[in-house]
Amino acid sequence: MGFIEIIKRKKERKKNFQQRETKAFVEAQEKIFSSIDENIKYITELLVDNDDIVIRNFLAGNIRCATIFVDGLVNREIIDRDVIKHLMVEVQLFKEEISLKDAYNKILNTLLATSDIKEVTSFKDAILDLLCGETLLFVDGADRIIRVSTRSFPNRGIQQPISENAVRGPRDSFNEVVRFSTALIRRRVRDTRLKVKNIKLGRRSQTDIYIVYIDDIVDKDVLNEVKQRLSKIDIDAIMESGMVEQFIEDDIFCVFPTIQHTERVDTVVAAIYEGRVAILCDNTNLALIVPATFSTFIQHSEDYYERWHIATVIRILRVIAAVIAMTLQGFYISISSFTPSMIPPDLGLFIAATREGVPIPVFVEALFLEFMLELLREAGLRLPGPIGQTIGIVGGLIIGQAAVQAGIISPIMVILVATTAIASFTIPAYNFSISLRLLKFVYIIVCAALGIYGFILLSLIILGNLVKTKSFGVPYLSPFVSFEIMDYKDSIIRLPTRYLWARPIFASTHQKIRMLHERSSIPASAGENKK
Amino acid sequence: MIINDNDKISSFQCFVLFVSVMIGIGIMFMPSSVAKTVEQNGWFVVLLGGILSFLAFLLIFKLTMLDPDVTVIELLTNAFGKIVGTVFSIMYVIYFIIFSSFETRLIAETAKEFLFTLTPNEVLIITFLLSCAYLSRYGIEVIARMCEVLMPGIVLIIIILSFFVYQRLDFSNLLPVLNISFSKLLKGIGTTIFSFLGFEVFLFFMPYIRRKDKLIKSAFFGFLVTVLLYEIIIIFATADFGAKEMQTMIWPTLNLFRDVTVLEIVIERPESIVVALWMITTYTTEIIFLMTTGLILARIFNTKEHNFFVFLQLPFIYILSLIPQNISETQKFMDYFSYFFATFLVLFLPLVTYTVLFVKRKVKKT
Amino acid sequence: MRIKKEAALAILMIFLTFFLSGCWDRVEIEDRGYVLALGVDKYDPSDLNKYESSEYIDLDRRTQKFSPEQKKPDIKTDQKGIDPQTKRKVKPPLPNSKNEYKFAITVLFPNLRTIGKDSKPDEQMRFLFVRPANDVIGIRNYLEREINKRLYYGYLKVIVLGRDLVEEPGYMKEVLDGLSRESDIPQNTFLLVSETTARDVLNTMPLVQPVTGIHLFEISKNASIYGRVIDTPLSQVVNSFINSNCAVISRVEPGIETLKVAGAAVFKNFRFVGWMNEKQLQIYKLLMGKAKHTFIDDLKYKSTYIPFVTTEIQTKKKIKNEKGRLKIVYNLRIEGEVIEFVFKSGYKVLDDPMRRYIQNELNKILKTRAEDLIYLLKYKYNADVLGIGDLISKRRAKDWEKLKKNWDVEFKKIDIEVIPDVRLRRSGTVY
Repeated sequence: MGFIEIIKRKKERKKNFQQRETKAFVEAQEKIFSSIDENIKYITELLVDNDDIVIRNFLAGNIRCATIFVDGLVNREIIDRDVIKHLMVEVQLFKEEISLKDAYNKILNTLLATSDIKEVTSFKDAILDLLCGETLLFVDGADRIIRVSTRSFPNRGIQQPISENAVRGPRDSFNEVVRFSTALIRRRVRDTRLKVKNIKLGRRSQTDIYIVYIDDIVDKDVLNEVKQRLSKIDIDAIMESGMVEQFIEDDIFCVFPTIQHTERVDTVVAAIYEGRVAILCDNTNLALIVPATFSTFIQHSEDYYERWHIATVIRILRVIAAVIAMTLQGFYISISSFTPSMIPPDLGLFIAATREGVPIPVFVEALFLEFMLELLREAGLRLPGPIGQTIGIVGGLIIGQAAVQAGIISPIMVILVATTAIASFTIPAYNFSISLRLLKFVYIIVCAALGIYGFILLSLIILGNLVKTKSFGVPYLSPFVSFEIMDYKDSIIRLPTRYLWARPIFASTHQKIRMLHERSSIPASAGENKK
Repeated sequence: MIINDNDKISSFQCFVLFVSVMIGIGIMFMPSSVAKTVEQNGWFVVLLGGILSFLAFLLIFKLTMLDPDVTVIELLTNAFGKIVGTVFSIMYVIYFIIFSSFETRLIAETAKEFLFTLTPNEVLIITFLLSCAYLSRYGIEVIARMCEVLMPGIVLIIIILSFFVYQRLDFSNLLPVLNISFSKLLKGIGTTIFSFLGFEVFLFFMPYIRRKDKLIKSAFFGFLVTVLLYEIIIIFATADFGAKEMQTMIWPTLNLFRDVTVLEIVIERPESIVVALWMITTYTTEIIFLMTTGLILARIFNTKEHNFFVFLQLPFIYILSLIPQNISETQKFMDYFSYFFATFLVLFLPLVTYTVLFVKRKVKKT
Repeated sequence: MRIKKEAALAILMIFLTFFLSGCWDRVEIEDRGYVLALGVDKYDPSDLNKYESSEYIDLDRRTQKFSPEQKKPDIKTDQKGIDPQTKRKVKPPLPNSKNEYKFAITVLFPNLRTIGKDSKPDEQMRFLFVRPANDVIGIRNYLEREINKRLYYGYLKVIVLGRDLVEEPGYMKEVLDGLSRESDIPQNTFLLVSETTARDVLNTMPLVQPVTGIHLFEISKNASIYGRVIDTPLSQVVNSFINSNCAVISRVEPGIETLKVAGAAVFKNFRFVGWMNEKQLQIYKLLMGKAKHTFIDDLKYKSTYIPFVTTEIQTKKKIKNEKGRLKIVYNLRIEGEVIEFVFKSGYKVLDDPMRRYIQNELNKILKTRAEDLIYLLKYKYNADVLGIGDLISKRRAKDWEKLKKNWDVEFKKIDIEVIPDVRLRRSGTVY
């Protein structure tokens, strides 16, 4: 009895706690005063202790006005030249005096020479805009505020993508300023059906999130699902798109990621054209793309710019590299410790000879070297610039060499560890390759216990995990599982571009055909729903 | 397009399920037991066995088409009343549990002989059952997807290995043809039955199939591929060893593929690869059985999810699989099982149910 | 709730994988002793000194073969096997009814320290152990008392049977059963019969390849090229024993620092009945269709020997019914080339008179040799190693029913005719 009481009380406390935290995101009143003094007094009291807010009182003819902005977030030129100067100076052109009543309208329509203004009727929205970097213009006697758009942030500029380099292809990557990101996308898609929808997530941070898609290609079910999941996010601050990703993903227990993220603009644009949805977050230089399947993690936009045989070979290489990165160590441990009959006899005797005198068993060797490698990787990431890269290479070489010479480690293990590490770098998607690295440890442990039997069972479990995962309704192993023949053309292999006339599984069923070429024959039933 | 979560399988997935559920561990031992009765005419007996199983499946199809939206459990209760119907359903549950325990025990024995020496049987069985149960908790569509991924690989690898074996075969070992008596032929067909069993899971899958009219076509192709694979294995095994030597071997299929030198530098004796391959085929068979049992129990007890029942049957399978003393005894039990229990549940019971329901409908109409 | 269930499930599975399995079977790759060759002899109680005498071991190391006249050093011991001079146990106690062994088994495995780059030059390349035992495969467990490695049969390449062992059909059956039952032994291990004992063969360290097992293995592997060597893998020998109780196993002769694999031993009813020398073996291989490339050098033209190398061989067997008896006809179609003649002989080897002479002479030679072989197999050995019985059982099943019961006698009555047809196709780069 007492146990149930404890649980009940815990639940009540949790509810109260949650209710206490649910407050309005912006603590401000709705109504705007008509008198400018009261407005300014209210704002200064609300935003007390914020010394980077600048208030400028001035007279436009005989009307008292005031501008408020946050220093550092605004482009002062617009305020100086287009707002204050115009209102102070141009008003002289009017011969008669402006009465208090139509002062507001006159200013709004004839005197204010800026291109982007909005009338705000609620203090809450006004304060939100102020904190985003807009300028508020108060006019005495009006109960509305004019918001002038003057956003200008300190930013990094458009730079090359750091983690997804390509030999051929555009080199612009996303920026932390989401407006630039959407601008880069707009440059490439001049379609009227491109939609860039804004929502604000994060109760207190009010981060801008943009959902980007093309209206008639995208699958409506996916789109609704995305919108629904985003609307369920109720957290106080969104730091980075990673937090958004973890809230909207399908299954937190899947070992592989189900949402793709990328720095490159052309990847996002190609994805949009395939019928997928891109999510851009402010303050993040990564875009999220949903839905994502296994083949999207193996592909890279560069595959489409080179010719088809290069693309096919390199994709197959990547798949083999992914498998190697995960299983090579485990496989070697299981065949050398449990069934050496699988190795050809001469090679087997040679491996045994190189291991003669090594004091530790194979799987301990493997674990030790892999652990060293992970340490080196992390250290290389944290150290600045050139030191970081050197540590990685030098550390690996020296430690491996020293260990082999000391006789603790056999040289074959060093070769295998190096191969595994390099193989995991060939995967274009970083989150995918991290999962592979972690699974490698599980493989080593299981194979050390049960050999080939354990290897096969673990592979079946991981395969089962992949098979059951669905990313926003699309099965994860998509072309191999749903048996859409058209999708095979662009999964692990890539047929010449003229045969890729159909959009893949993500697209809505009404817009399947994307290209007409004289050499490709499109069957009559294309574009229809193939259930 | 989003594939709806309504748990229905397409006709290609039906075909894949057929092949996956029938190709299990039975084929590993079958050429030897066939050679004991019909010597070198194993290929003919396998063909006949396949045809007979297909006819049995047609009977099952007819039965389930009487009411396509319910499984055979409801049909049984319709025909015989609630209590007797439930008893028969429980008999199906026991049937599948025994079948699963056979498969598990045999694959554990195979792995123990060729991959391990000291590891106890219990460990192998428990790890195998847990890996199978992990996937069986999900619905039929996920299982069908898994088999879709695995089955083409299995068939392809067997065919590739057969290519490598081909050059050392002596096909004259298949002569003389058909010089045995009719009764021996029947006995031989009896020994192949175990390898063809498994298709009766489709008694319970009817509501989940999207295109019921295409089921016969999927079944036909499924049986065709299975019979082809079995024919290849038995013809090659007979050609390689000869009927007399095959009678003495426990694992003729494995011995067939054992000394193939595939790409002399890389993998020399694919013995472990063949055992691994057979682990995968047994895995596909086992997940289907576990899920089916879960489904049946879920329907009987009227719960929505069958996860719990999948785990519930694991201890029973474990205990049952440790009962036989060794492989010889396991094979004896298998023979009793397939002669009596299987014929009753696969042939006899559907036939009786069909006639009863047929008569009832006729009576209702008049 | 669902998340908690999944988490519990995952943790349970990880635990079980960890703790239930205790790495029972994990043996590091360098902890195994890879037995490369196995030798089985019949235990000879009078040769007690062979196994443990230190002088004999010394002689081993200098790898000389004993000539039959040389007396083996004999240390006189008392009943318990203790040398009265040094008071140390030198050899196993004298046999009495309690410890009489059946086999003496030789096990050879390489020294891993000598493979690989940095190896000391004077270390022994391989280790040889000879022990008496009552069973063949179980020697692994006996030797684990003395060897620190786990003996492993997975790389076994060669099994040598001693001459005195193969005279006992009972022993032979035990050996064959052990070899075919063990799952570790690869099925293409070569079987060889030694002229003297298996121990002598394995003791010899041929100069070309000091590890004896690998040497014998590689010679047998090349057997498809030569006609005088036959490769008899274990699977084939077992198969022929099961089908007809007769088999052919290759023969090895030990020499001084060399081993010669040539000829074969014929077995009937699991018992050794005689040797096939190299020429007979050549014909045997031709008749069985196993030879690709044989070397016939008996052809003579006016004191010049013309060596002939065959390149393609096709054997066709036909069964005919003549006068109530069965007659088997072998049609040998052979194509080959001449590799040596006389410089500036005035003859063109490929043209008509010479070519026809060569072909006819070769036909005659092959026919006589085949008849010799068939006579040997039918009457002297009475062993059906050509597979005649098998052939009849497949093609004339009804006749086989009658012949089956008394096959030994019936075999002598079957008429076997060999019709060779040699074609000279090439003669090198000179006409």
